[in-house]
Amino acid sequence: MIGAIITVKGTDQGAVTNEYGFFSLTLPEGTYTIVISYLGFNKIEKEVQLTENVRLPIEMEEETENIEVIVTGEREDKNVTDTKMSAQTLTAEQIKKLPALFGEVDVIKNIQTLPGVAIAGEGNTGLYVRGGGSDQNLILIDEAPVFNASHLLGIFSVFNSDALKSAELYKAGIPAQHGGRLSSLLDIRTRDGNMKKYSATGGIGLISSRLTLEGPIQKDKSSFLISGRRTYADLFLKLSPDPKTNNNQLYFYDVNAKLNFKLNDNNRVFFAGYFGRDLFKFQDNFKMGWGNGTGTFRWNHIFNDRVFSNTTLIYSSFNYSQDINFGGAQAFNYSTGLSETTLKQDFSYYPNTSHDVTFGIAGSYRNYKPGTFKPTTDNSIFKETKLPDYNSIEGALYLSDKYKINHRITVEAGLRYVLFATVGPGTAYTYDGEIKKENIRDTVQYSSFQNVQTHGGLEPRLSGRYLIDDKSSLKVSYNRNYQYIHLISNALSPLPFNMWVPSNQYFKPAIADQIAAGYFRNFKENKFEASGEIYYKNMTNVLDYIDNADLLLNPQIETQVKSGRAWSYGLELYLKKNTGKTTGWVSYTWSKTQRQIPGINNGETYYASYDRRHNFNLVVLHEFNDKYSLSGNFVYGTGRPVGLPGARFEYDGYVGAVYPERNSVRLQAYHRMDLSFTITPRKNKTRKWKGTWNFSIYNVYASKNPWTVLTTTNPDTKNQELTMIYFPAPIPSVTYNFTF
Amino acid sequence: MKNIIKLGLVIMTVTVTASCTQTIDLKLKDVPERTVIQAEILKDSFVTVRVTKTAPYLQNSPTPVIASATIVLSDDLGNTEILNYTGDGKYKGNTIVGNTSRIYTLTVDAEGKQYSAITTIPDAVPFVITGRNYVSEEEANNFHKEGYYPTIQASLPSGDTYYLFKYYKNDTLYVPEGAQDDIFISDSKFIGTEIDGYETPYEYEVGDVARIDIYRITKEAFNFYNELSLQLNNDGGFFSTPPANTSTNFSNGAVGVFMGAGRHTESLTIVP
Repeated sequence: MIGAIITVKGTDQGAVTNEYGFFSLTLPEGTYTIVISYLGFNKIEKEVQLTENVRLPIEMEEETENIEVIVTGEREDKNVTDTKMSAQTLTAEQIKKLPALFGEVDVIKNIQTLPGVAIAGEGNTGLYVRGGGSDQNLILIDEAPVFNASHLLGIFSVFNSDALKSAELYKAGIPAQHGGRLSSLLDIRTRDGNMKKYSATGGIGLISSRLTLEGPIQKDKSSFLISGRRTYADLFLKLSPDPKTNNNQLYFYDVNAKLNFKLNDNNRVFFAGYFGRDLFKFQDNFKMGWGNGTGTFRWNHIFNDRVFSNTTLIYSSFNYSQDINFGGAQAFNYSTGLSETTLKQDFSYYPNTSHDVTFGIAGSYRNYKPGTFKPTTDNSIFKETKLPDYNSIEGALYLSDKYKINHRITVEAGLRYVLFATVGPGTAYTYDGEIKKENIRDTVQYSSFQNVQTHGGLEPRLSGRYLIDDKSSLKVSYNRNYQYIHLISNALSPLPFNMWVPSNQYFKPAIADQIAAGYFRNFKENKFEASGEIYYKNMTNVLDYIDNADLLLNPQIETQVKSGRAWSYGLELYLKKNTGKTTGWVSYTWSKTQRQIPGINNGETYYASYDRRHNFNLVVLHEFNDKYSLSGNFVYGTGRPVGLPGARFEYDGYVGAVYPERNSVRLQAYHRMDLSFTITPRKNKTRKWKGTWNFSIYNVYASKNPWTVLTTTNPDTKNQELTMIYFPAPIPSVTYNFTF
Repeated sequence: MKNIIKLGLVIMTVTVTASCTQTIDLKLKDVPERTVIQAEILKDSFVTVRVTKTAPYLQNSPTPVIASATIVLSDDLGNTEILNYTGDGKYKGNTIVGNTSRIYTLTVDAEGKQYSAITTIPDAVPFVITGRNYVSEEEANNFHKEGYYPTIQASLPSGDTYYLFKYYKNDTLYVPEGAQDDIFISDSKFIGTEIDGYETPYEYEVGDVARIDIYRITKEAFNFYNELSLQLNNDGGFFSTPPANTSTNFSNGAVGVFMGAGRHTESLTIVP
């Protein structure tokens, strides 16, 4: 259990269990009463005689009468007392109570309601954190990075809520243990599986169904969890007698699996895996498929009371494949992909109650397949074109100490160092003067593991907390993050065929420096928590693309890219009510994100395409009684800037356009309200089978929010027009969830 | 090529969301007026030029023509001619005939500003229409409608080459409903040198005379048409590269291109 609270009666000493459920306390010799509490579980008091070091395994029992209580796993005053700032945790229970598009509960959509995360709008699971792009987030599922976290081109995320335990978003103060992206860490953990009894949970919805099975392999020693989900819009297509329709496919599925073994008191291991796939087939003309696969093996070892170790082996891959066939002659397959293998050794060391030290080392290897294009029929007019792979190796070292200087002041100081090298085999080009295709001087071939270019740097991570009183605190932080892989995409949407390239002789690692300060206060015995934060973030070597960039299968991708500076600053306000019949939060963010990149927009400053001045979210959950509950959310955001033309011209029968500076026009404001109503029949209490009905309506008042805006010619008047594409609304859905 | 890949996404999105559309009104940013020059010199033909101006994007007035320009064509042998105005902003040469071994310079003096561009003329690539594919009602879909699709066979020159395709039905430019933004261009990037069975994008009916013009064009002209196509078929930057200005080989900020091209034409009368 993460975050159980341990206090020692009659002293101000205490501890919180770490992410492996361990805690360590150093006390003078004597007899103590130790109290362990965790919301939703019976409090335990235990007398301990300390004459030597003792190890105290404690098992907690779920509270019997108050079983519906949400297990938050958080210390009640964590908001104020933790050194962490710019971080937010969502538990699976919270996520499941909120309204969802098509009834499909989605952790990323929930993250988008938090302060500092810009509203992305419909059809976009991208995270835009404190002025960062959607490619600047390290999204981990059980420590394995997920390279494209979206299904159906961004309408849903790849995370099945039934398999999730918690999701923690760091907008700053990213622990030194993690690195590699500029703007955020989204740390998603899956559930471990029940070691005591078998159970099944699931849901049947309008567009998808889910089923999760879990239980002990050997009671109290090992467990398994397997969770799957599949959409079935296409199954309805199959019912059609028309072969043109029933031959189409459109679905996604994903599977999460976890095996957990408690080998003995000092050793635990788990295996976790994710596999997901999207498939779209339109008759014999189009076929597209893509997905992520990840695997994590972790060995958790206790050396002694003060030293814990984690050894983790991680694999993650993403690939995309597309087939097109028109009449045999225009037939090809196009594919891209990326894979990563990482081995990490992490240590936690608790020398005394004032210090929490973490340190470790990691090494990884990545292989990038930027694209292969090949004919798929004998008479195809196309020829095979394969871009050479990129390869990179990376080594990381880190050390971090959380130092409790006194009752009021705690500082956390971490330092991370990464050495990153792009290595062969591969092909590179050299240029005379400006990096343009016309200026190619030479082609250089690199052999296997031959160094192409090395980059590296120190990443300090500092944060401090000053406790003003037991209800309020001030926190400050400074962070530096490096990003060594770059997503080659200038579209707003998380497209599956976007490719990643490593930092090399042309792409320097991007660097973000961020300072943040905040005031944190809890009210009414921690019933309410509030915070206000300000931040300034400066990013260098950020990429953007030249006008009309040709990013597809371009062997000289560096000719399409320019790099420069981006910066963002903002104010974030957050108020959350944790307990009571009505809970929820309200968040407001004012922010500004701009870029200035030589060679782009005539070197003038311009707004990032996800820049929104005001972002407002209101989330309310209300439990009328143990049978009925209602939740709702309201979202408002300033319209995002887009590039629209200022003038038109006539040419060869077509109507062309002249564009002013980049992103010069703002779309209308985005706003939407969703509602969700859950019925839990009372007969549940006595039955093993427990079911709940969830009815939700997305975009209740049918707000027309532009998904995108196109320039079009009116077919009747032949006049030029602006046409917005928006999602139909309201979208009602019903889901039946069960557990037995 | 790129458009084919993105097309799949658009179809998928539309399928997924059954999205709605609505015309909206936004205040667009003004841009200064620019001169637009559409200039073309084909092998064995006289040069043709049309000079117009840009107009505010959403205003429904026609784009103004410039009738008072002075346009001079010269080649690298020192031959020079002044073009005649023929109305509607159009100008035509009557002396210099396009030759694939010459380099041409076009100078346009319009409303006090001078614009110039240089081009060569790539040689035409011969092709034959080998027949037609038939798509039956059962096989047909929105992207491959029922009808007859003439097929092309050609041997392309090696190296980087660029093409513009125009399709005619009964001697009229064939623009099916909803296809007014289609531009058919290709570079040789992903294409083999032997082409056989390449279909027309649009269907023909029995009795139609299908005419296919393939222009082998310069890289500058290809870039211009490619960028124009990106503008016409953009999705607001959601999936595709955000729309941007077209490039030009004219100096001094004119919009358009001076295109040199070799054209080959073939026709087929569709029989059952």
